[in-house]
This record gives sequence, C-alpha cells and structure tokens, in this order.
Amino acid sequence: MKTFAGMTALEDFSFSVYPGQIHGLIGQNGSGKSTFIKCLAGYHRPDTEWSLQVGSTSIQRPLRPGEVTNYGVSFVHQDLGLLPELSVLENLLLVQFANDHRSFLPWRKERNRFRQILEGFGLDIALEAPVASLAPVEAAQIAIVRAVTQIGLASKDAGDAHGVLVLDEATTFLDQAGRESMASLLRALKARGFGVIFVSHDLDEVLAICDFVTVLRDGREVHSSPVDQVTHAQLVSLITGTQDQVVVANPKRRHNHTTSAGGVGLRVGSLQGGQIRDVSFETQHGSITALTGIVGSGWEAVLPLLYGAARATSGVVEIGDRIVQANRMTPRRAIGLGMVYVPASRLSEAIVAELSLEENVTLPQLNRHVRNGFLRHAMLRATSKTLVEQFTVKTTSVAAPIGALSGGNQQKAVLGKWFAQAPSIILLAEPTQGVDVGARETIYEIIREAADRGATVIYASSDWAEVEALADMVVVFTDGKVGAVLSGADISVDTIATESYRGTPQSFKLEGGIEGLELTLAAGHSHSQGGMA
Amino acid sequence: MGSMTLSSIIRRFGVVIAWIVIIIVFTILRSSTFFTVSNFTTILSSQAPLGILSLALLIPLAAGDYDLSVASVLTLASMVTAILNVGHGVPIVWSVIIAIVVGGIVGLANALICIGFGIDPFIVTLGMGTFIDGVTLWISNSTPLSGISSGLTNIVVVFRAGDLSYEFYYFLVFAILIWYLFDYTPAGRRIQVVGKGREVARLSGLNVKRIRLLAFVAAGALSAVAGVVYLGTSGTADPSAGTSLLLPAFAAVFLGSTTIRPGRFNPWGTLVAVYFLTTGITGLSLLGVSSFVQQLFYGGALIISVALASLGDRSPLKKLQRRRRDAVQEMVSDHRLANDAQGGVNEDSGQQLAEPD
Repeated sequence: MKTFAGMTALEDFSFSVYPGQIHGLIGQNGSGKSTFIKCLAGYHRPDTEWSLQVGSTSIQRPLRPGEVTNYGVSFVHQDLGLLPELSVLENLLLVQFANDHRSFLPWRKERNRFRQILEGFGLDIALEAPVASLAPVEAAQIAIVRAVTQIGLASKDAGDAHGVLVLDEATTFLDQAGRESMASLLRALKARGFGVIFVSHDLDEVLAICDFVTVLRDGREVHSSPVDQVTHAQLVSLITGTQDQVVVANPKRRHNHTTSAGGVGLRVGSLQGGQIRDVSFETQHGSITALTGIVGSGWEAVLPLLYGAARATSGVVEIGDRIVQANRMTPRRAIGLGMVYVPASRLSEAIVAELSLEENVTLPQLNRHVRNGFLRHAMLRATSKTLVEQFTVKTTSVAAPIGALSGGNQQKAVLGKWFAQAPSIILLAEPTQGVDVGARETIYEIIREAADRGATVIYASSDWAEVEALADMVVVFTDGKVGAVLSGADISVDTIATESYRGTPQSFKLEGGIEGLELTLAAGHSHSQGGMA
Repeated sequence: MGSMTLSSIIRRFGVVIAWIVIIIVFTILRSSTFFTVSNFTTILSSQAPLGILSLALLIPLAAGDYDLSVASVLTLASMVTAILNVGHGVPIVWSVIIAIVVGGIVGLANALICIGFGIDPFIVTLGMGTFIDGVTLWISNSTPLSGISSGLTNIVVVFRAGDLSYEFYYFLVFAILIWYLFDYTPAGRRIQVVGKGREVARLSGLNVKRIRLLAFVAAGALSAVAGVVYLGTSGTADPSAGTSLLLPAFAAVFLGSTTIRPGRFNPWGTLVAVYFLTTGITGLSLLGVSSFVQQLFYGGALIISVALASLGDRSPLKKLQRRRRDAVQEMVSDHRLANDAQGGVNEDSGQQLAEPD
C-alpha cells in the first residue's frame, strides 16, 4: 500500500505479466498507475510489505531507484529520455556509456551491432541521424530498443534476453501511422518472449495491442481480464466508476440562458497549432465552458494558443466585434482584448516565488499606483491587502514571498491578480491542481461569481467531476479535435467519459491476439509480480 | 521585510557591519595613516568609476542578463573621449556625449544579438567585450593618451564639495536614480519580474524584449559614463583600464545583492559593497601588503559573497543559474514539443498594443 497525504494511492494490488504477453494498465489520472510504476522503479517506497517476483528471483524489500533494471525490468516513460542533438547510435549507447570503463569505443563494431538489432526489429532508422530529426514514433521506438538492450546488458546475454518492458504512456502522442508502426515493434518484442506492461490512456490502442487488461480506479484494481472479454464501453465505465462518483459539495449553478441570453463572448474558428487541428467553438457571456478529454487529446493545448502563450499556426479568435488572427496573438494583445490567463504550471508560469505576494498580485495594475512620478507603496500595500481579503488568501503579510504560501493560497492570489482587472474573458488551466479541498470550494465560488458578473470563463480541466459541477458547456477533445460539445442536462461524468474515450476509429489490429498469453502461461519462467498489501 | 528580528538585521546590514568592523580593525592597526580624513575622502572619491561601473552592471543583472562587456565599454568610452578631445580638438562636452552614445550603441548591439537570436548573454557579452577591447587598441594604437581638457578633470576630481570630489556625488546621484527606478517606478518592478520570472512576465503581458533591450542599452551608456569619470580621474585614457575593473564590479554587485535588500540586486547594497571592498584593499596596502592583495581580495569576495547568497534560498545567482539550465532544457524539450502538444513557444513579438495596466 502506498499513501500520499491522506489519500491512498494504491491498495492491495497485484499485477502479473508473462513472457510474450502485453498487459495493458489503464485508469484515470490519480488512479494509481503511476504510483505502481514508481514503486516498481524504486522511486516510491511502498508503505507496507510487498513482494516482487521476476523469473526465479523474489524480492520482499523496497527497491532502490533503478535497481529493478538488474532483474531485467526496463522502462520507457512518456518523456523518452533521449538527447535530441545526439545521434541515434549515441542515444542507444547512452546507458552503456554510464557503466562503460573501456578507454576506447569501437564505434564501427557498435554501429554494426545496433544495425543488426534494428533490422531484427524491422526498423529502418539511420543510426547517424540526430534524434531530433526522427518522427515521434521513431523516437519512441529508439527509446524502446534502448530499453530492450538494457535488459540484455543486465542479463549478460545480449542476443536473446528475456525481460519485462514497461511502456509508461510512451505512445501517447503518436498518429495513426505511428501507432501501426509501434504495434509491429511490440509484436516483434512479443515474439521474442518479452513481457510488456503497457500503460496508456488510449483505449482503442489498448484493445488492439494488448492481450490482457487491468483497470485501476482510486488505487484499487477494479477489473482484470483478457481484452477480448471486455468492450470499449465497459472499460470506460470501469475507469470512471460511474456508480460511486465523488460529487463536488456545492450544488450546481446551471445557467438557464443556453444560447441567446448572454450573447457570444468568444468565438474560436478553425484553430490550428501543435496537435490542435481545426478547433472551432463559441462560448456565451456569463457562462463557464470546460475543455476536457483524456490526457493528450488536445484540450490542454487550446488555452495557450488562444492567449498567445504558444503560437497557433492558423485560425481566428473573435471577441465581440474584434477579430484577431490566432497566429498573431500575443499575451499583450490578449490582455488588451480583455483576456486573462491562469496557466496550469503555477510555479514556472503564474507566480514569481521569490517576490512578495504584493509584487505578484499588483503587477498588472502598477501604473494606477503612480502619483507625481512615484510608485506609492502605501497604495500598493492597501490594494494588495484588499485583494488578499477579497480572495481569502491566508498569509501573515503581503510582504512575504508568495512562494512561502500554500498551493491553494498561491492560486487564490493568482486569481485575485487577474480577476481584479475585471476581465471579460477568463482562461483557466487546471485552476484547482495541487489545491486543497477547502481552497477548491473558494476557487469554484470565485469562478462562478466572475461568470455571474458577465465574464466568459473557459476552463481546461482533466477532473470530470469538477467539470460536471461547474460547467455550462463542455467541449470534449479527441485526437486534437473537438469530439463533442455537451450542454445543459447532457453534462455528466458519464457522458464526458463516453465522448472522451470514443477516440478515433480503429484501423489496425494486432495479429496473434490472445494466444500469446496461453503460450506463456505454460512457459511462465519470467514472472514479475508486484503485490502490495 | 516584516518584523525586524536580530537575525534579519544582521542579514540586511551584514556588509555594513563588516565594513565598520574592518574600519575599526585597520584603525587599531594603523591609526596614524588609515583613520584620517584624507584617506577616507580618497577612498570615497577615487572609487567612483568602479561604483558607476557596478551600477551599470546592476541593471541587466536585475533583468536576468549578464553583461560581461561593461568594463570594455568603460575603456572604449574613455579612449573615444580622449581621441576626440585631444586628437581632434572636439569640445569636451561633445566628446563626452559621443562617448556615451557609443556606449549605448554597444549595449544596443548586445541586446539585439542576445534577444534577436536568442543567445545566452553570457557568451554574447563575453565576445562583445573582447571585440570592444580590440577596437580600443586599434583606435589608440595601443598607447595611452593624456592631455585631456582640464574642464573634465575639474568637474570630476578637482572641484570638491565638503572635502569630496564631485565624482563621488556622481556615483551617489546614479545610485539614487537607480534606487528610484527600481523601487519607485512601475518599470523597476517589471525589471524585477523579468529578472526573476521571465515566463511569468511574458504571460503577464510585459514587453520582456523591450525591458531587456533597455537594460542592456542603459548598461552600455552608464558604463561609458564610468569611462568618462575614469578619464577625468586619471587624466589619461589607458587602453587597458577596464581589464582590472570587471571582476571588482561583479564582486561589488553580487556582494551588494546579499545586503540592504538581500536576494535582490540593489543599488545601496552595491554602493556599500564597493566601499567595503576598497576599504579592505586600502587598509591592507597600508599594512604593507603587496599589490597582489587586490586580486586576492576581489576574487575571494566574489566567491564568498556568492556562496553566502546561495545559502539563502532567495539568491539572485541561483535564479540566473536556473535560467541558464532551463534554457538548455527548453532546447532539449523543444525538439519533442515540436512534435506534440504545445507548438512553438511564442516569444512576445512586441506588438504595441495598449499597456496592460
């Protein structure tokens, strides 16, 4: 069992993967997937006893970071850990470099060795190319091949090593062609007897690639079966656990004026940029619109594009009668149009931790505090004290560095900084991330009040219960596009989940399917089991 | 600031206290030569060029950028002034103005290269400094030039008010101006935000590029002023004058950032640090220690002050290091980002719309 700050992240969980098997592990954010991976990698210590069995080796104690690699378990994370400026070959050799005591590197020999390995996996990637020039799927494949050779190093049997490969959302950002190419690599791994733990948000991919699937929810296993015994729809309801939903305490304030009463507050037309493709939607004055979907589906990328924090390639943003080309939007221009933006990564984008609370919250209105050419410190102090009271920020002094405040109070201060500008368009990214429950309620109140005063609120969130409680309209993203728009009574965790996981139609299927499992149950000599009680 | 506990007083006034302590120590050791009016007026006046140079360096550092070319600009400006005035008979006022404009242009060049190409200022200004040194040697034929108009020497060292040469007051005036800028103007507060949280500044609608550019230009112009004051002090333009001033200026600014307003590059801390360092050196040389003690003292002070500052978590240097590290990481992750969610990061392209405030 692993507990974080009063919440159990994982409880009584057992997991097995067999040679030649691909075992999918799915669940929402916070369901315990990453906790499990981190316990396995040795970055978290389980609070209570656990056991890990790899092949014939059994380990009862917590692992040191990276130790599990010695037992033939290797990881590929979403951040692939490749150095883009170095060549493919250098990246493949990186792990070796760290433990290599040779004074001379036989480059030609290594090149030939890796060329054979890549060919063996059916990959046609130039070893001399810098990783930066690779397609996303090729980079992921190189990371996987490197992880596989790491297993080979550990078992001192490079040619035909068995082991377990953990793919921790390593395939999140792949396009369709990329997924097919990835599937064929995984097929090759299966054929060689590797066990694969496949962590993903993409249910179609899981259903197509995996032999077995386990669903985690709130730190518990809620389902585990071969993939052909479960449907897409069943997985969705298993993931969200619609029957025992946690409800946000405050009763819902649902706007009755659905389309006409408020008038259009902001219209987005054919927005493109990064993974966002042709996104259009419009929101009403005085309404709260939520952008959501599964992680990586594009909802996270829209607000930075609207605000000009990241550059759009095309599209228009209309506010009232003002039309701005999205690729010409900058934060300055956005602010001039009455927009404010509260970014998700508070520490790097929303606050300057070393500067005082006062300096942080008064930044947008400094010019209003100048008298006779002097910034009036007493006025600034008074303004910031008013803000602190109004937005219930708990602090001993407004002169204290804002970094010393709790996450919730920092966030309330950031909201105060921007909401005091009486914005007409409010863009909020994960406004309650890392915020305690008490502060959450206050933040919901603040957002609702702003909407009631007529501001247009657009709110990007991965917390569907929160979206259900707060939003008047929900734009669900799938694969970088608007998948569905929900409003009024249609908004529920259930409908959001259904639309989010609808995803793209499957156009590939892994051959072999379930037979790999049967094959390996019999073979069963490399057996990894993480049992946490 | 909050309540003034003993430890916070020591923290805020540590360098002031240390200054007083070394004055007492040297007075005990060498009362006849050290603790004299003339010695103190010499210390206060003669270090004005270093002081002004330190203030010049302070501005881009506060905005989060290193400027390693300031000392070279000092040398160039003093040489330009001397060549125009002595060599070409240009009136001293015009010579000085042209020298200051030249300094501003060097700052502008630094800014355009750093901001335009997104290159680390540490490297750009290191190269610019060496380049400028070459220019100075070229235009001066590598020889010192004396015979500067007495008008300049008069208003720099000869004329005195209350036993102190005018140059001390120039230093004081610039310290006051920067204090006013940093503490009493919106621009000063914005410089702090740009220096300590560039992304926050950009997302808050600040024109980060313009603020950084103006900081570089101000540093260039003020370094040139320091060069003019240097010329007025010595009466001779020396093509290697600045070489020995770069490190002391850095030492003063970083030591200054540990005091008065700990954790921030601030003008009063810089002023105190300049005089703490020069008092120490003057005292040691009166004790008969050889001149190499200067290097020991300045080099040691820079390292110790930075080490002291990094003990506290509000160190401005840490922020600079973090920024340099982040820049590298950003480069690494850009390649990945190019393919996924965020798209290219959009630097504030500086459209001149209404100010956000």
